[in-house]
Amino acid sequence: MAAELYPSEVQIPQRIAERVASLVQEVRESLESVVYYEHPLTGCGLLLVVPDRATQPFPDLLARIYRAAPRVTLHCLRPRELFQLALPGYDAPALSVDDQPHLAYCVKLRSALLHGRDCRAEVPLPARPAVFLREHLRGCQRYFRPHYLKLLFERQYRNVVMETVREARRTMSIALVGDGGWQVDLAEVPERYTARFGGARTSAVWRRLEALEECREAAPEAVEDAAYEACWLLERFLKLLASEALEDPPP
Amino acid sequence: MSPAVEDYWRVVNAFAARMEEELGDDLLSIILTGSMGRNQVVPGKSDLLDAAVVLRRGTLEDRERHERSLRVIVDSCQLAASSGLPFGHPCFYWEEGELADQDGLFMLGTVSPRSSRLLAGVDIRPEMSPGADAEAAASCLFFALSQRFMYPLSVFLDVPELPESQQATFFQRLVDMSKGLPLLVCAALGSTAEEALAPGKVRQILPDVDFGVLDEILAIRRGERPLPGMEGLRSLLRRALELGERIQDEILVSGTSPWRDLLASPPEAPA
Repeated sequence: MAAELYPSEVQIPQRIAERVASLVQEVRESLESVVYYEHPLTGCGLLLVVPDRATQPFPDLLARIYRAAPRVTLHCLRPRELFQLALPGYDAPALSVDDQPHLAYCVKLRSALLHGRDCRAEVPLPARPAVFLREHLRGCQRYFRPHYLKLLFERQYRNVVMETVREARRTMSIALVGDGGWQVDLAEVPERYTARFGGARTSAVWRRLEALEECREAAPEAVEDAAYEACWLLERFLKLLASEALEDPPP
Repeated sequence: MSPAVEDYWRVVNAFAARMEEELGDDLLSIILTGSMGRNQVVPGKSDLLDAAVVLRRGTLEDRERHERSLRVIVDSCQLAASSGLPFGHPCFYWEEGELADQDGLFMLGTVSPRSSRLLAGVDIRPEMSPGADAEAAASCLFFALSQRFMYPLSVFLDVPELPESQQATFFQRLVDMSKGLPLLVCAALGSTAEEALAPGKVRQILPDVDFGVLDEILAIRRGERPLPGMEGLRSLLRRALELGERIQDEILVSGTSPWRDLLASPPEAPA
């Protein structure tokens, strides 16, 4: 199992290690396990496992944990709730980055145990990883569109371009859930996506979108045009990606 | 002067008129959702533009038509935002071809005549349907609500005092949670209901669970009760977290939850 290979490769930032040490000191009796994981979309996070039957009221335990924990994505679960790590979450692109895609893989395979018993074997993997991509694409329609509309009416044209490029990268990463995407950081995602799905039209749209980032130095009118073009390219890109990754994926 | 419900309608009708005039045939429909769609506007508090704009098939394919549509939507939203009414976000927009692949919970509120109304164009609601796995994915949202919105609020249990503005923010988080929770619990238990009906339905499904804290929070929001001080807010939060814990247990013992289909090996219900 790859999990056995990873602990030596996962680097735990000093500030997180220190905060986890004080967290353990604060709630040792109520903390069964702490797992640090790396994640391609959010950088990193912590799984905190509390007992099925805690010795104090649950709200008080949560308050102690959230006060002492490091400021990273936290998943605080009881052992019987660990299955939640393999389910879709609240995927609202632009409002926040959801780490549920890849999460079960990262906790199992790209992680290190920091405290207590090793519960990683109890975390299931998703039965249908494509669900994450479907939800993300619906999330892009419902949340990312109003987001870029808002940026457009606030005339934040440069941000429109940067965020559409970032969103396209995240979507490619989510298309790779179930295909080893958990180990591919965002910088390398386009290459891995092309190697897996290989759509020439999708690649051409991606390259055009990525090239718009050059507009940072352009005159204001050119940046405005680039922002509107970026929105159109993102829509084209998402449609092409859906067709090759969901409807007709290569074997 | 505080706004009235009529002010909301005046702005929203002007928004629709402008969209119809500028977009012409590329505009297929505008559906109002949210509190305006349900006819439950709380003036000065309800968000103005919970509107779903649907563009004609092919608009997103063509760069020129897409850009023109975006510019019209942006201008129309700017007009609405300048009214001074609460403007949380611009409208949502879809293309005609996307109607049969909708987000499970959003669709429920958008298609129901109780929760939405046609503002302009063709009534597309009968064509909207949930996409593949949309209901199963929606059934997972209660877990996400707990992890991402409810549990982090627990830090306020230890805070003795907060400035008034931060108390208002804290209270708004409780309101958001109270509005969404019945909807998400129904979905998690495989019994989806639109937002307007979810508070009643969740009580039918879980008759032994006390949801009173949600009623109290929403009564304060409607101005029927005064905003409590910090101690009162902490007490509401504690009860909401206890309610969340109780619901988690109920969901775990339920054998009908759609999220089970998304796991290779679903958990066994605890004895």
